[in-house]
Amino acid sequence: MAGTEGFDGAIAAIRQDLAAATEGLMAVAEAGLRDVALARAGDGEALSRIESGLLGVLEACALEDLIGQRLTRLQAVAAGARPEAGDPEEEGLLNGPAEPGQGLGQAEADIWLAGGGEP
Amino acid sequence: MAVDKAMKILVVDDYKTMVRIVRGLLNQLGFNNVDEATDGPTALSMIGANGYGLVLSDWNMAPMTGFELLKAVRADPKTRALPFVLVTAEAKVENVIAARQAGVNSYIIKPFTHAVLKQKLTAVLGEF
Repeated sequence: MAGTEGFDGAIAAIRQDLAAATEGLMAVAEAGLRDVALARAGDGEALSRIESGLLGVLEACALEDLIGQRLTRLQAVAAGARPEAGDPEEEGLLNGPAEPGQGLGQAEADIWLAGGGEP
Repeated sequence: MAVDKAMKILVVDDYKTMVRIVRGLLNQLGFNNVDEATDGPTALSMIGANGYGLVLSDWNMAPMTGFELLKAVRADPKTRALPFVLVTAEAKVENVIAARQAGVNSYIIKPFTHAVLKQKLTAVLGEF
């Protein structure tokens, strides 16, 4: 059923977002704890690595926005509604985060923005 | 010309967490004069009243999307040349093409890293 597919796809994407963010945060915490020990032992680069890790934590917090958008889409799927664009030029452009494996990556977006890509 | 890191920057997103993230990453890059708005109409009003050097905006917001905000900024002769970057989870080819045609300066897909933000801001503003 189309409705179930949209629902299941959104749920799967949310699970994947959560798993990826959790893995990222755990990796930062584990590396940070090692670097704290190294900093105490005199490693001059350890603080830079900790700073870099904390930036990664900040970046991972985008999870709330992405999952929030997926949940909004789930509500719409459950209600049988589709997002409506107020501006006719935006018809079909309000889709929220792509499901895993779909959507452009940053490098591809850069190509299209520069006027490249397939005609 | 050197980039003025004291420039006023406006971050627009209806998710306050995302505003905090972008502000934090901008601060790390040395940009500390950052204003925020959580909807398009407020952002448009702030843009008209302040001399921003850069706008970073989400796309999917209501009642005015970031795309509509971009078009409004480009339609005003006083703000037509304002550097405008979309920071969005919208990742279809059609979105990027529409944004390009509307005059966006750069397009950042969420989630993104501080390295990507620096790369895109460098491309828009110059080396810093």
